[in-house]
Amino acid sequence: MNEHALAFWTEVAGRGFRRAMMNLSQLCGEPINVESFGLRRVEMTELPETMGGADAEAVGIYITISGPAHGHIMLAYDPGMALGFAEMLLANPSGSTGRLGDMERSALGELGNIMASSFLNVLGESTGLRLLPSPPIVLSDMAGALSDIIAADVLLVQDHAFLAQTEFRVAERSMSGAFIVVPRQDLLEVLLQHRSAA
Amino acid sequence: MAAHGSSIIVGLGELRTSTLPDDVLVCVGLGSCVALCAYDAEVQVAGMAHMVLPASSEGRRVGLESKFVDLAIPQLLDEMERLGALRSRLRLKLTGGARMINGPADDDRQRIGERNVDAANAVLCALGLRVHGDDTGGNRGRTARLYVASGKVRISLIGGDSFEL
Repeated sequence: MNEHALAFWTEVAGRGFRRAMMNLSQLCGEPINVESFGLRRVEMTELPETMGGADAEAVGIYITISGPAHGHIMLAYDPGMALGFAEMLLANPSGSTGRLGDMERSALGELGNIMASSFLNVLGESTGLRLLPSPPIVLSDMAGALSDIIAADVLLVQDHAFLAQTEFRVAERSMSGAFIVVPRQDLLEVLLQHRSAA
Repeated sequence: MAAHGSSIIVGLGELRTSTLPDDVLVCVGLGSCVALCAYDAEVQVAGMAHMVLPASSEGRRVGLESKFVDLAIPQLLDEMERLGALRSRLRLKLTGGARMINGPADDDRQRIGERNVDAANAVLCALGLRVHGDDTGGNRGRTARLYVASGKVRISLIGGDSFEL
C-alpha cells in the first residue's frame, strides 16, 4: 500500500470509528472517550495479540463485511467488560449479571450491529459503495480461537493486513473495548478505486 | 531450536522442533486451526505444527507455507528427521479443528476446522502414518502443550479444564 492509499484508509477509518463511537454514546446515553486509534500493518500471526493475547479469555462480536469487497470486524472485550456492556445496554444494575445469557448476547450483538453499520456507512459515504455487515455473532472463548475465524479467511490470499483498531472507554464507567477492522486486500483496492465517486 | 529449556510458542502457520528435554512446545488458542504433535521417544525429538488452512491449492503461496496442512506436515517430518527422528517411530497426536461459528453445514468457510482435520489425516495416511491420539472438532478453543522430556501432550480449555491426550 502506498503512502497515498494509507492516508486515505487512515482518514476514512478514523471517521468511521468516530461515527461508531458517537452512535454507541447515543445508544448507551453516556459519553465515550476514544483512548487510542491506530492503523498499522500486522502479520496475521500477530492478530491474537490485538485481542489481548492468544490464551486470554475474550468475548468477541464478529461481523463480516460483504458487497463489492470483503473484510472482517471484531469487537473484543474481556469477559467482565462484556458483561458490563450488556448490563449498561439492558439498563441492569452494574455487577448484577453473572454470565452471558441469551439476553446479554442479544444486547452485545445489537451493540456490534450499530457500531459496524456506523463504520460501514462512513465508508459508503466516502466511496458510493454499499458495504454490508453480516448479522453479528457473539462468541466467548480464547482470543486465539476467535482470531482463527479471521485468519482462516485472510491467510488464503495474504499474510498481513492493514488493521484499523480503536480502544474506547465509557467515561463514567470503568469499561473499555477494542474495535478491530481487518480488510481483505480487495476491500482496500475497491475503496481506493471509488474514493471520489461519492 | 531454542538454546535452553523454555516454552516455545508455535504461532499461526508456524512449525517448531526441539530436542531439549526442558522445552515445551505450545500452540495457544487453537480454534479452527489444527496442531500436529509428533514425538520420537528413542531420540527425544519433538515437533509441532500449527496449521490454518487445509490445502495450498486453495490459496496463494505467500509467506509462511506451513500455514497449509499439505505443506506443513511434510516440512515438519523432514525437520524432525534431520534431528535424528525416524518416521516409523513417531507418535502423532492431532488436536484443534473446532467449528467456532455455527452456520450452514455446507458452508466451506464454517467447516474449515473439520476440513483441516480431514486434510491432516489424509496427508498422514498418504505418508503411511497414523494418528495415535486425537481431540478434534467441537466448538471450543484449545491450547496444546507437547513436553519434550516425555512426549506427553496436554490439552487445556477455557475455564481451567485440561487433560492428557
